[in-house]
Amino acid sequence: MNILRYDGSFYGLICVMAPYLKRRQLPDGIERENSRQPLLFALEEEKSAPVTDLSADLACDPQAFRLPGVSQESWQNVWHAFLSEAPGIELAMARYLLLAIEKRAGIDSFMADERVRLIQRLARKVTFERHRFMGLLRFRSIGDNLYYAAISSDNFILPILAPFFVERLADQKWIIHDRKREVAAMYDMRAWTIIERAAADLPADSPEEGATQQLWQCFFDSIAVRERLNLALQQKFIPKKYWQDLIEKPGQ
Amino acid sequence: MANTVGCIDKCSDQPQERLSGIFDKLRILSAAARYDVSCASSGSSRKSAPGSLGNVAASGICHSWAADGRCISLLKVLFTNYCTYDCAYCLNRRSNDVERAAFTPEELAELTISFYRRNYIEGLFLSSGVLGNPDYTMELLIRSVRLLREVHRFGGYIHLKAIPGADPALLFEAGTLVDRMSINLELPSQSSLQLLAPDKSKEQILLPMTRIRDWHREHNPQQNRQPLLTSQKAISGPMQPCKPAAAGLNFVPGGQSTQMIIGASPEDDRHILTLSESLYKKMQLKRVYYSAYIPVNHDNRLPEPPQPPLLREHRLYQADWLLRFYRFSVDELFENGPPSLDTDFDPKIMWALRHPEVFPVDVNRADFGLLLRVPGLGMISAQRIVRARRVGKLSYDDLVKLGVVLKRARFFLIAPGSASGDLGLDPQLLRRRLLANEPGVIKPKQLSLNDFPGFQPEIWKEAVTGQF
Repeated sequence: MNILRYDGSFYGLICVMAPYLKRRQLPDGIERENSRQPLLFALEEEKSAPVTDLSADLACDPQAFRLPGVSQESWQNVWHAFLSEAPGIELAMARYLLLAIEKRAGIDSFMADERVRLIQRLARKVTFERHRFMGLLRFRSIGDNLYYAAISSDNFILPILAPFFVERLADQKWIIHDRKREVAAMYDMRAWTIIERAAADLPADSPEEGATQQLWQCFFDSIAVRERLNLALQQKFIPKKYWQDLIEKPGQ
Repeated sequence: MANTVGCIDKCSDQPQERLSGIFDKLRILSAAARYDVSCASSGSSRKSAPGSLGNVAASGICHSWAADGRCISLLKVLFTNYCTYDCAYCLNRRSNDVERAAFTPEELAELTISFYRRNYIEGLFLSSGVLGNPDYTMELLIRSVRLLREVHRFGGYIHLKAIPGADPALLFEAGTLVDRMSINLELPSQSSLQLLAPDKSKEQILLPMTRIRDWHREHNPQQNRQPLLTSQKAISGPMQPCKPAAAGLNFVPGGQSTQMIIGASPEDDRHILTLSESLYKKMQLKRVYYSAYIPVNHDNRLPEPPQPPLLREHRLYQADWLLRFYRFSVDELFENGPPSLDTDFDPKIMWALRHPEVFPVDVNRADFGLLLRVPGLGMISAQRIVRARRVGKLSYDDLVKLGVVLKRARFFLIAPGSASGDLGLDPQLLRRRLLANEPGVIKPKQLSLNDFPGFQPEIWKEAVTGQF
């Protein structure tokens, strides 16, 4: 059995996958290094058979990304779908890319094909959640020109969300903390990076923070037209799972 | 006002004096602005100047949703709710006894920035009552906006209400600083305006609208793509109107919009939509907003409906979308029918039921424009169909896979494998079938033997056990 292992990054995944795709083959399985859940049918002794380990040739050839037939749109879709972290996403990506290589033309028009549909659906889900957090993310001031925001998103949206705030809030330092994955994006007014194993304890607010939050809550309450109260609609737009990290209190 | 009680609880008990001042102002002036419908932050797009604060996303971003289910995108406030006018429908009219307040430009700018830095908002929506005279009010608004743009170097979205009757030079100056401007039409006809807003006239509203349109045309050769903050130094002195476009000068890149109140005056839907259509065509407005009339004042000139006409407002918005994106015209919509929109169905179905000769539409052949006319098919579905059918014939099952919602569309489409033609397109029959689809009309449920008339439990028992 051909089971590929990769380091958990998109780049790493494409590197281990590319040689197979170029030979128009599908690997039998792809799994993350130190993945907690081993593949069901991969027996111990078989695992020692051809396992391509990324760390063996870490210097992956950038040519790996030059797969004929894979359009820019398709690359974008696999990248976004990858961020969904859905179980089995690696193989789904491989199938999708293989189809692209075989068809040699924009496969994103084949929207009724299951392989394409799955990737497109996941990609849409991820970009939708990213758009949602462009609005719902809330920074709190935790120091001199330093802001902190906590999110717990369904998908790993930090890599595509952070650039948005880099552009928008360019003149302040900020941290966006993905509490679910214990990963944080940090921006120091020059560059931004993603930091793994970020601590989960909330930093203390700066003194003016409480008053600003109250101002916001006040605005949030008084902008609603009471004659048109529609809490169901409100909750449709802000599902409850996002309420905990908001400053305002929906549902009242 | 009784309905701000919830907020008073939250806003009182502030330790610092200065803060309690700003709390009260925010409470009063955001409550006073809540009946302004527009909250869009779209239509404009701007990269942030390097190292500075704020940009504008072309799609617009909603940051929260208020308890009425409406999107909160901008910090929507009045600069002041003092007003010299006495419009019948308005909460802040001169003759009303309400709490009055006014921001200072500095307070307002600071508030906007502190909200923006925390990603609460996309920018500022600034309107105002008329304080003293229109020019003075306009100057105050400009000062606030200028402070934001030039001192705080704020690149986010700003929507400014133009004050009717203000000097054109002020109007122009304001337009160079903001993303979108709007002048409220208030009411859909001159006679209603005269009756309910005696201080405003149609000319007073339409003339500045025309001016803004012309300046917008002149100063936005390539729409929307220039940074608003180009030079470090502040622009000094009032700007001259109609000067040839200076480098980097941008006049309301997000265009202009307007708003009118629905249900306070007797105009019918056709009249209102005809007005909107001409505003889109002649004034090149980006949006017309409709606001279901909510009685906030007791006035014998005004009707007092028990409920705001929310459904009517909803239907008008749907029809408005048909005008702007679905290539419909008002005359088409109301052809051989009453001048009001159908309350049971959305306007597209209303149109389709009157035009059975157009349907069914062949999914694999119909052009994009025709697909858009199929009830239940939206912009995205139509685009997906057109794209997917280029690489292969689409069957009914494929449509499902494309994510096309067929609840309504299935009656109007044919594709290989669809069950259309079983009943034909008799409008009467279709009406009933469509209605049966609507939630709340017929709820399917598990049949039980008890539902049958004349059912006797003993017989059932015998049947089950086999004992007679």
